[in-house]
Amino acid sequence: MRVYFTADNQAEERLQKTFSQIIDTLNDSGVLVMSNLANRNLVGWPTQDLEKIEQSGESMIEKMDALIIEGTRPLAESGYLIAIALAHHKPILYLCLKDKIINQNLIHLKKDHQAAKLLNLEYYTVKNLNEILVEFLRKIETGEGKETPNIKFTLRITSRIERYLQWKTHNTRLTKADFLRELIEGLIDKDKDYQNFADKE
Amino acid sequence: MVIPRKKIILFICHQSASLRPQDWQEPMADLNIIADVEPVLLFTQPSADLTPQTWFRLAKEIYQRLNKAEGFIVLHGIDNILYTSSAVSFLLQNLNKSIIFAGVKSDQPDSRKIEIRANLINACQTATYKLPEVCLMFGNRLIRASQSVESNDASLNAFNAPLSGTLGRIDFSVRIYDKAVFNPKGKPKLFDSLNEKIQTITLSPLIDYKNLASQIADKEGIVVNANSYRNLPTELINFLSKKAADLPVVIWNQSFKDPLFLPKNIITIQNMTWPTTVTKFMWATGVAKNPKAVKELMAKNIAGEIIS
Repeated sequence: MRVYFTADNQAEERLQKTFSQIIDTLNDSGVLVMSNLANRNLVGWPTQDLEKIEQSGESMIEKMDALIIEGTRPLAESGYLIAIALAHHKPILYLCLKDKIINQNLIHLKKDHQAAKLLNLEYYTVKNLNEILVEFLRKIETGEGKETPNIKFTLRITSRIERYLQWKTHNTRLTKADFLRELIEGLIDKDKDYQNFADKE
Repeated sequence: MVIPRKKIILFICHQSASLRPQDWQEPMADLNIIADVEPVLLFTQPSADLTPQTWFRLAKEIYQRLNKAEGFIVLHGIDNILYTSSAVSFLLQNLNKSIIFAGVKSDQPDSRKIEIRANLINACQTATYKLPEVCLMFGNRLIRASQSVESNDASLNAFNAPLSGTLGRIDFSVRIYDKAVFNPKGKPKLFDSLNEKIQTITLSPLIDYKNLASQIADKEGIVVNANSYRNLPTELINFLSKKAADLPVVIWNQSFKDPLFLPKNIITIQNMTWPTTVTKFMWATGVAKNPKAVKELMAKNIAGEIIS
């Protein structure tokens, strides 16, 4: 699993220690961490992969499984990173020390049905930080929150549908299954009756 | 924590079946995390139908709002985007704000959706920086509009630019190269004239010079795309030599080994892209009073368009 971790690299020493604790916990859990903090950015990326990404026009964050932000101190780029992560359907963990205040714009964003599924805002103390991180990783791995497709079922289709799927996904980065999943997600998003039903539940 | 709220104006200059209003309306919530984004509808047809009147209107609308926003995004179709963006870079000079053109390249409905969202978010973030340029934001590159050419490869980078025109890249953030950030040399200036009485000619063996003579009768400049030629046809040189005495003539060819054989009053352009050559010529013939002055302006670096 690859996670991008960002925090204010000018923060005071006490916070810098917390940042190290976050990275260590993630590393101990087998996560490859990329970060804006010194000596952490792009460590572990094979040069060939970097060249491929550059040529394809994709951004690095597309290649991440999740984004973690330590936002106790204001971080100019956090808004951008959250926006781009949401656009790419990546789960986000936004951490803030317990006695500090999370920006109202982010709290407001939690009211958005789609964003709320991906955006996790958490107050932490030094004591429960590891627990929060491990729980976030568990949610990603089990599909909770991120809604990883982990339910398998067999669908029999006609050769006409198969031909269509082949044509539709040829020369794209989508697999046939991805295409069908996105199609159904689109239907769910547009289905107002279902939205009402789901909200009541 | 306080995220500074900056104002960005998003001009919509393209609408079609493949880029519907909801395609840019849906990412607005994401864009508003970064800044206060105000959309302005400017052209609600496919960008292939854009004319120089819209270029001028766009430049004017931006100029009138220069003090009201931190930066500007122009949502534009792939068609004509190089002409529109180049024209804006000549119409609006000494810029003190970013003007970022973005759009979508992919033909697949599903990938289009995420591409437009990502390009708009990247453009929005870039527009909040102090980058006084007209740029294109597609895929993971930020490039100078007036040095850009369309890319034919299958990547999300719809356009390419030489190193001198590459201003930044996207990895985990928008990284602007130091060379791209500079202070403008004066107050922003809006030019109110682009000469539309320009004849563009693409060289081929089918050119009928008699017909051409009547076509250019009321024109105030000629620009010839001779990029696929190593040597120019003798009949063309004779034809243009006569015309160049009265009106400015540009020959665009990026591979001429020795352009010296051409008559002196013909302007040869080798270090600019074709859309930039055309729009700069329209601007220069609108500003300059005689062919000599046009020649001087065409040689001068106005908006970072000259490829070194």
